[in-house]
Amino acid sequence: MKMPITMRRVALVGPVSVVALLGCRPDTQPLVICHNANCVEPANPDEDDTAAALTASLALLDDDVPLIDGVEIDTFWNGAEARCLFAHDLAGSDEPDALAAVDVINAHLSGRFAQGAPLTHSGESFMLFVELKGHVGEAKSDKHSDEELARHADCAVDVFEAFAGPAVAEARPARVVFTSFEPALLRAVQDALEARAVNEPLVPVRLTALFGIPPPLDSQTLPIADFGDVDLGGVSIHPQWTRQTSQAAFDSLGLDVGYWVFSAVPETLAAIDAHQPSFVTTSEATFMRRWLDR
Amino acid sequence: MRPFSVSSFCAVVVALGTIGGQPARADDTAPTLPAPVVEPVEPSAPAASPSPVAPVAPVEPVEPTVVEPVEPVKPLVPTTAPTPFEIHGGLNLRTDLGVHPLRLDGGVRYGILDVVLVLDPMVLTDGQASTDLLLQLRSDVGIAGIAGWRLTTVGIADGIQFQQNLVLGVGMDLPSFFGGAVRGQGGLELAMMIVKHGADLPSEVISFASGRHYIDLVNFGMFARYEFGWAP
Repeated sequence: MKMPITMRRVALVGPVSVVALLGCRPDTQPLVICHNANCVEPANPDEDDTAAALTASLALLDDDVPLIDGVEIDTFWNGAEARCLFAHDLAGSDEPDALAAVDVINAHLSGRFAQGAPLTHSGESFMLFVELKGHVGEAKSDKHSDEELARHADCAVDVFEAFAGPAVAEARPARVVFTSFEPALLRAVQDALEARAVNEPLVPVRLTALFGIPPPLDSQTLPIADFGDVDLGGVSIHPQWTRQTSQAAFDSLGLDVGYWVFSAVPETLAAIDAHQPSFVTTSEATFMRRWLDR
Repeated sequence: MRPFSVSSFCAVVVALGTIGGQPARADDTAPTLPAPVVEPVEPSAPAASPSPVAPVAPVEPVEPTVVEPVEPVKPLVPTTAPTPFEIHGGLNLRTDLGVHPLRLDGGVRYGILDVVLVLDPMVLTDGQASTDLLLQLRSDVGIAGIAGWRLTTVGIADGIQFQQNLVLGVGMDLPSFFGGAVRGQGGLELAMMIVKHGADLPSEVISFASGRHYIDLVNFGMFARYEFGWAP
């Protein structure tokens, strides 16, 4: 790109800019989070949760300013092998351990921090989303046993500690958000955080419930009531599959509401304009950034 | 004007039959005959009879009989088919977020075919426009099959992204107003983003390898159209 987006935006003239100047656009933008560690276009879920896609996504810059404000990685408990993977599912082969993703992120952030380069587009602290996948085998019906819940949650807290350690050492603020469709997993993470006395002011933690395609079309999304004993700080919802009344309910509960999408279409963009989520987890970081900066 | 229908078809058949000299109905010949007039019969003189037979009474003259012309029977269908050609224009409305809530549409209808172009003046509000080119195949019972293409342009910093969508749907006639001058149609549509391109971004083509590949790209919507029609 020849010129920073912000400078080019100033040069824009026309109806859209006039509308923007009249105050018809929100003052604050949602944070852009890299979905499944893979947000280099074109959106391709086959590359989700791979080290190569994660490295390329972290390298998305515009005039040395990152396009993103954080990254989401998936942890998958492989029940057959009793391993905690950096993977979306078991479709691939030779998935690395979950901590491998943290190594890539830490190396990137520490390197830029040492150079004095910005770590996020917004200037706020870098956000690491850790999504705990709700099944342990090929099928979504392969649920965790109690032991697997505990071990998967321990793995997630291991990820937190591996990420927070360098941040604390470098006095580099960061945030971690644990997410899952499965209430039992968030409950297990909550228990593990308490059991391991995790309390790092420089790297605050939040638990966030995921909502997507509702049943009976998909089995992952559960009612918000099922998260009753989880100290939720927010929800991450798919804007095209979540009713407006549900969004109103989340708002009324005081939950921080964000969106997750793969590929943006007009429905996505209209929902962002209408509801102004605090973050958008997307597989198209460049498009989303340029749309927000339009 | 109504869509081409069975009744319209029959009207054409009747018209063609009349032109060809083969009446479609036997009764149709009645108005073409001149009113028949029966001439009065002159009383004939009594013939001389060689035999002494009582004379026959003279025949009373017959009053001329005039057959009243038969009122032509109205055909069941008009003999001149209405023109199947029509131009129309109106509003294209919806509440879902797939396109702007208000767009303008216009088109040409010929018989059962209706070609509709939908334009998006609300592009001025956010730099995004959805333009549809739709073909409707209308039936006698007010239901139409719809297929077409939607080009959505999304304004982003330093460019415009083009999203090409296949549109499939079904429409149903809604009640009309003002003596049929304003007609309505409601419907359900499926819009599938086939490819997105432009703005110096890599192109993306829809894939059905897994649900994750197309979950965002296949969307349903409901619409309502109200239009004025004009048959030249």
